[in-house]
Amino acid sequence: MSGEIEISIKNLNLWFGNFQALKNINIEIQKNAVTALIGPSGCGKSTFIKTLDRMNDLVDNVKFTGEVIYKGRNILDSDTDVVELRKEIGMVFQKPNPFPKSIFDNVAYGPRVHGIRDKKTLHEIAERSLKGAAIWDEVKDRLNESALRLSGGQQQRLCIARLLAVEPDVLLMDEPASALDPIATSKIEDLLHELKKDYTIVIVTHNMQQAARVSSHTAFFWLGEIVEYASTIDLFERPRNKRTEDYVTGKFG
Amino acid sequence: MARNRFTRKLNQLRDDVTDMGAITLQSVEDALAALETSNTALAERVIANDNRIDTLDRKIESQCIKLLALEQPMAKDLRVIATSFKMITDLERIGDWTVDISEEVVTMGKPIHIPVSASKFNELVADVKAMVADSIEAYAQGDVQQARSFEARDDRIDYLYKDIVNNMVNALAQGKCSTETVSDVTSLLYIIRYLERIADHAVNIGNRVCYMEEGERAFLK
Amino acid sequence: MAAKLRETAAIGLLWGAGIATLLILIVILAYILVNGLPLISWHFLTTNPGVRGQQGTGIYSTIVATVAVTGLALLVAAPLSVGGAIYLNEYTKENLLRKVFRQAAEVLAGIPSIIIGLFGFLFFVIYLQPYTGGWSVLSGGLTLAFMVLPISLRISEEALKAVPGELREGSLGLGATKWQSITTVVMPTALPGIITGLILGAGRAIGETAAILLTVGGALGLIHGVRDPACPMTLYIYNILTEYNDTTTAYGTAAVLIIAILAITFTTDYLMNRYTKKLKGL
Ligand SMILES: Nc1ncnc2c1ncn2[C@@H]1O[C@H](COP(=O)(O)OP(=O)(O)O)[C@@H](O)[C@H]1O
Ligand SMILES: [Mg+2]
Repeated sequence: MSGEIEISIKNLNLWFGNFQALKNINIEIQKNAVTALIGPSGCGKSTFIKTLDRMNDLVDNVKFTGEVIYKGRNILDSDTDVVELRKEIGMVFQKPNPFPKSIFDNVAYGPRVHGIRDKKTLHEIAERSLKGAAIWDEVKDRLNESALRLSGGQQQRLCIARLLAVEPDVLLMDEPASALDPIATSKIEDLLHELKKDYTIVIVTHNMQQAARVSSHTAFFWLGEIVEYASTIDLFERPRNKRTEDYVTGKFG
Repeated sequence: MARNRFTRKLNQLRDDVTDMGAITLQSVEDALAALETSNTALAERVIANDNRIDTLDRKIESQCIKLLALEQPMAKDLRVIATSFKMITDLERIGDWTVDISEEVVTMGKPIHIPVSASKFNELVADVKAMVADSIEAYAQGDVQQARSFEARDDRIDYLYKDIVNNMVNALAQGKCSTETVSDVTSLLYIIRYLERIADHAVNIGNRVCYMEEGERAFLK
Repeated sequence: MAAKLRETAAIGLLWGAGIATLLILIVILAYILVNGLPLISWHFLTTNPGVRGQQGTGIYSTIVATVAVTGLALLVAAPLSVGGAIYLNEYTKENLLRKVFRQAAEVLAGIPSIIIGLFGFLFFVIYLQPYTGGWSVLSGGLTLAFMVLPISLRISEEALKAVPGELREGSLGLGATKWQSITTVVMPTALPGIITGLILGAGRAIGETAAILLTVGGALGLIHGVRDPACPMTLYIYNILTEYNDTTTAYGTAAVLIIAILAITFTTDYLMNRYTKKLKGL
């Protein structure tokens, strides 16, 4: 695997209480590329992706060991400023979760909590972010309407715009299209191809065709382990591991 | 085991391709038997039978497209379909060459006179027949070892082909041929050229079988 | 068939129970309003009560006392209960401390009001007399705060719990601090529930008599400060009934009390509905 590395994960283990949800994960995430995570439900994909922006901290009883090296530091260190970290590594969730506020206030939310008050600057950021998420044309005339009036697909792109507004480097997406219809889904996928020019993207998906379409590298998770990590074409055309083969050919899972 | 229906369809596809291979192999054998025995009736039958191969080609092609479009196969499944999809073209081409050979047999219409070493010619014929048979067998069995042997066997066939061509050209040049046999020689030149092409397709099939089994496309020519 | 019959019977029974509840409510309301409404006039609302149950006077000072005592109770209970709910729901993990807190609130809610009143009497009226002025609006309000607190704590906590986790994650995921997430996303979303809790608490405070009886003093004069003794409407009804058997004035005051409670309930209901709709973008 060539290309610059954005995040490098070494010997990552994670427990919820006594249950080990991640086992000895070792992978490197390429910069300015889309990395897909596939695997059956409950195999630890969401847990893994949440480790990358320390969202698992919100869970009681969580313990982890190992290293997640990003910009030369181990973000799992207890002295990591998670608030700062989450400005650099942002997350889009499975279910679109716009705030019950106007479209504009949603996009301006991040910049505002980070101290930007100037109306003009906020408007510029909002426009740039909404354009970046390919939703500007659909909402430019209704920025003061509630975000909850948008369709599911629009809400999800708004959530992406909201994230772009804080100018992160890495976008984590946990099944961002699983609640959307095929047209909304393909809009998101097109968007991913645009975004990867400027961002490093890690996407969890249940849909193998989607992983195949959007990503350059794919990791196959199984029972908390990464069984195989390879370029997407290799993983889908000639998996090395029997389990991967059985999974991608639909023989289980 | 999930996806039973799909697995059944995939097995059906392999059976169909193998059947098409058997029919093509039959054409190869018949065409060469017709050549040996100057059996024009048999040659005519080979020509007539070719549309069976063409029909199978079209049928299997649409089978493959359907599976690709509807089942979104991955990994080995994907490779089986991709291999079959390409391999039927090889078989169809082999079928066409047997038609061409048979047409030469019909044109000559009588026992031919071979102006060069018959043993080399017979060896070429036997090798090509065996390679076609083995390539189809390799596909049916997923036999990579067998498939890998074709490159070397093809080298031998190329050598025989060149050697026979040289000898015949020499014979022509030295005026060893009667006016009567000149046309036989030209026909034979065509036929051994067809045989050499058939062997190339068998090599293709062998490479595709390696890809199907191991996923490496690198050495496909 | 028998199952079907039983189901029909059960539904009938439940329906009957519902209707009965509604009927009882209507009868009480109608009875009091029919008897009380004729008395209500501008004069009745704006004149202070006369001494010794004198007829033809009003209830002005008791209305002021009710507003003062309730307002004070809310003023004390609102920040405590909302703050407590935020602390419990947002800052503690599901552990023993949280259970103890919740249990304590439950127990507090279950204590008979006369006992709360007794505590208020001993603590605020007697012990803290130099600060509260003894029997006073302050003592009454602080005592009532104990009754408002568990209700609004409980309901605020439910309201916070009902805020989808995704919204918190969304906010934290954008690099907001926990406090920013709470103030800018969680609280606005939970506000209707929190307000409802406070209104229910206020309703309880307005209608409370026993806890007031021992703490506000029952003086009929218009109050000038929180350390003055006072007589809220409920206590006034109790007093004029037990001391002067003045049912007419009692009905009139009761009608005012009920109309006030209904008005508060419906207005907040309406406002909260509008707010919720706006939140949902309708
Ligand atoms: N907060 C939690 N507490 C305890 N176990 C959890 C928690 N979150 C996830 N798990 C467990 O960890 C495993 C991995 O879950 P998850 O990462 O959500 O899987 P995936 O996203 O691949 O479907 C599952 O077995 C799940 O039950
Ligand atoms: Mg998940």
